[in-house]
Amino acid sequence: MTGALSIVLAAALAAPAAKPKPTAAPKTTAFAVTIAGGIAALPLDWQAPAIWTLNAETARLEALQETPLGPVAEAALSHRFARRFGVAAAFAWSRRDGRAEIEAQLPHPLYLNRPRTVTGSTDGLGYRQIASHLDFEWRPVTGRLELAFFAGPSFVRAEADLVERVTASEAYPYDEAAFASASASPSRSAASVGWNAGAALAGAVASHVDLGVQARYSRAKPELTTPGGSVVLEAGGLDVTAFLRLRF
Amino acid sequence: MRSLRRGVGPALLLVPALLAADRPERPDRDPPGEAAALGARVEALVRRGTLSAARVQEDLDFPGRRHVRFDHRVGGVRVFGAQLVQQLDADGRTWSVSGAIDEGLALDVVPQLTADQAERAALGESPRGAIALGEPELVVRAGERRLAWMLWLRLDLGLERVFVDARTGAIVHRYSDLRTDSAVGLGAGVWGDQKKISADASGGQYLADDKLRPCPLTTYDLRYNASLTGIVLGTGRFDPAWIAQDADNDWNDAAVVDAHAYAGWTYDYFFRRHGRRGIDDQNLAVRSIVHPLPLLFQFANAAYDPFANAMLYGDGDAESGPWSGALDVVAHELTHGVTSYTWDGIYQGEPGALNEAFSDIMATGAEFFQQAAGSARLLADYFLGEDLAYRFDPARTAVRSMENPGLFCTPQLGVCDPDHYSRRYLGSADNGGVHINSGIANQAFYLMAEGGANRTSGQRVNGLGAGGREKAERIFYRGFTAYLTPSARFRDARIATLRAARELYGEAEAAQVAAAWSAMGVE
Repeated sequence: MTGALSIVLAAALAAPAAKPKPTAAPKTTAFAVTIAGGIAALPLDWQAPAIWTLNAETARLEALQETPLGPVAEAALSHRFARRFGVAAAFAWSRRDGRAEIEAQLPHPLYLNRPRTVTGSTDGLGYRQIASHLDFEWRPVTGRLELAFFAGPSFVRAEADLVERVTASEAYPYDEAAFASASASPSRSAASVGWNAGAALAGAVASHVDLGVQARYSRAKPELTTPGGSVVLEAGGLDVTAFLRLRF
Repeated sequence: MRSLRRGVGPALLLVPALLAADRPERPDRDPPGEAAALGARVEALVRRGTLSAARVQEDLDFPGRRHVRFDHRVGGVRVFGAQLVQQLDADGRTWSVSGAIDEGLALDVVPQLTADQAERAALGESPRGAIALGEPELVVRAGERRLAWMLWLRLDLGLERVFVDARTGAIVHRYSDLRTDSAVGLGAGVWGDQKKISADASGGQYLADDKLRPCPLTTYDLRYNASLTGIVLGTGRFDPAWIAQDADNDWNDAAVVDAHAYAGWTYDYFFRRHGRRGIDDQNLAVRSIVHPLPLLFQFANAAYDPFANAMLYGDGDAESGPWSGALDVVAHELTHGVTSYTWDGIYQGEPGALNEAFSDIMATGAEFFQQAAGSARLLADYFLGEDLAYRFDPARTAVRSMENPGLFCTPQLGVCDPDHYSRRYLGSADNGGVHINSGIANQAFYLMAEGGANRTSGQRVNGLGAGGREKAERIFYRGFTAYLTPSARFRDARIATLRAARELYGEAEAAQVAAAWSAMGVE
C-alpha cells in the first residue's frame, strides 16, 4: 500500500515539472479526498508484564518494548462548510517492527522459591495501529497556499506482539540460567478513544489538486491484557506525512 | 544393612527369611495358570484388530523371555496411551499381561478435518514462531471418546504435544512434552511442607525418576509388600514397574515426596559442598525404597543396603511418622553409600562407630546446607532424626545429639551415648556399639564447628570460628574419604582429620581439630 502511494505521490509531484505554467487560483469546493503517506515520527515504548507456569511455579517477566519510527498511510474525506472552516474524517494505518529488553525470573527446577534472573532482548515484534480521526478544521490562510489547523477526537486500535515467555539454557545444579530466546503472543489488541491535533500546509498544483504536508499528533491509551496483567499503551504519536488532495 | 537406629527391629529381621521364600520366578518354572488365559485373550484381541503389536523388548534378566507391547486400536486408529504388555518365554508361553484397555470403546473414526487443517488450527492457537513437527497422527482419546489429530509443536526450546478435535478443530488438550521441563511436580512432605519433585513423564504417568540431576535418582514404592521387598533386597533387581508414580504430578504420598526430594537435596549437598558426584563420585544410581513392609510391622527405622545399593525407609510406628520425613535421616543413609565407595568402614566396633558418625556428620551438614538453622521442625540443628516424631521434642524424641550425646541412652544395655573415649561402650550389642560410640566423633565435630566444652573432660575448645561448621564438614569429608581405611579407629580419625585440616586450612585450624579430639579423650 505504501509503495502504491509513493507512486501516486511521485506522479503528482512530477506533474508541475511537466506543466510549469502556473495554474489558476483554486476554486473553493465543498468536498475533498486526501491520501497521504509518511512516517510515524515518534518512537513508542511500554513495559509489559507476563507470567506463565514453569517448573511448577510462576515465572515472570517484564519486557520493555520499543517501537522505532515506521511508515504511516492516511486517507481522509473532508467537507468545507465555510471559507475557513470544515470537518474531516481521516483513517490512518501504521506498522512498525520493534524490539524488547527483557528481564525474567525463572523458577528453579529443583527448589521452591529460588528464582533465577535472566536478561536478554528480542526483536521483530510487530506493532500495528489503525486510527480514525474526526476533526474540525480551521484555515487561517486560504488561496493558492493554504494553511489549516485541525483537532478532534480519535479512535485508536492498537495491535502488538507482546513478549510472553522466555526460554533459558541451564545445566545442573541450575543455580544460574542464561537467556536463550523469547517468544511473543499472537498479537493482542485493544482500542480506546483519544484526541488528535495538527496542521497542514497545501499548495494547489492543478485546479482540483493540492499537494501538501501535514503533521498530526494523536494520543489514546488502549489497554492490552496479558497473562501477567495489562499494559496501557501511549498509542498515537506524531505522524508526518505528504499528501495529495483531490477537490470536487 | 546399615540402619540409622540401634536395636534393629523384628521387621528388618524378617527380610532375609522372605528372600528365601520369594525369589523371582525362574525360567525353569511354569508360568501362573491365569497368565495362559490372559495370553489367549490377547491373541483373540490381536486377531480382531483391537490390539496391534507395537514393540518387542528382550528380557535381559531372563534370557529367552520377551515383552511384547500392544497398542489398542479402534477402527484401526490408535487409542492414545492405551497399551497391553505381554510377557512371553522362549516357548511362547504367557507369563503375564499388564496394562488396561477399554474393550467396549467404539466411535466413528472418520475425521472431518484433514491433517493440514488440524495443523493450521494448532498453529493458529499457538505463540508466534511455533513450528509443527512431523505428520499429525489421528488418535482416539479414550477418556473423552473423542477422535483427535495429535501433533508436536516446537517453540524455541519447548516441545508441545497438541490434540486437535478431528471434527471441530478445537484444541482439546496440550501439554509440554519436553521431559526435563514438564516433569517438575509438587508434593507435600510428611510434615506438610511443599517440595518440588523431579519426575519423569512417561506413559501418561509421572514417575519418581529424577531426570534433572546427573545421576539416576529413583524412588520405589513397594506398596507395603514384604515379599517384594525381600525380592528387591535379595536380588538387587529393581523393576521399573515399582517406581513410585502419580497421575497428575501433584504428589500426595508424603513418604515418596520426602524420600525422593531429600535424596536429591543430599546429592546436591555432596556436589556443591564437596564436589562429589553421588554415591561413587561417578553418578551411581541413588535408589530409595518406601513402604517396604506392612504397616502392622511398625517398621520405625531407615537403612542403607550396600548390596542392593538402596536406601530403605520404614513407615514408622505409634510415635514416629515415615522415616523419609527427616532430611538428616535420608542424608545419613545416603552417606553410608558414600562410605561404601570410599573408606568402607567395617560396620562393627570402632570403625563401625566412625562409619555411623560420618553419616551423622554429613547428614547434619546437609541439613544446615538445605534448611535454616533453628530449633523447630524442619530447621537445622545438631540433633539427628529430630523431625521423625509426631511430638516435636528433640531432647527426648530425636535419635542422637551431637552437642550432648549423653542425652540418649539404651536402657536395655544400661548405657548412654558416650561423650568421651574413656566412656565408650565395649560390649557386643549394636555391632559393638556402632550407634552408641558414634557420639564420640559426633561431639568432636560439634566442638570443631561451634566450640564449647566437653562435659566429661571439662576441656574447652574454641572451634574453627567463622564458617566453622562448613570447615568442619570439609575436614571430616576429606579426612574420612581420603585417609581412613576400613578398620580405622578413633585415633586414626584424629590423625586423618588433622591432616585434612592442615591441607585445607592451616595450622590454626589443625590446632582446633586436635583440641576437639583431645577434649573427647582421643589422642
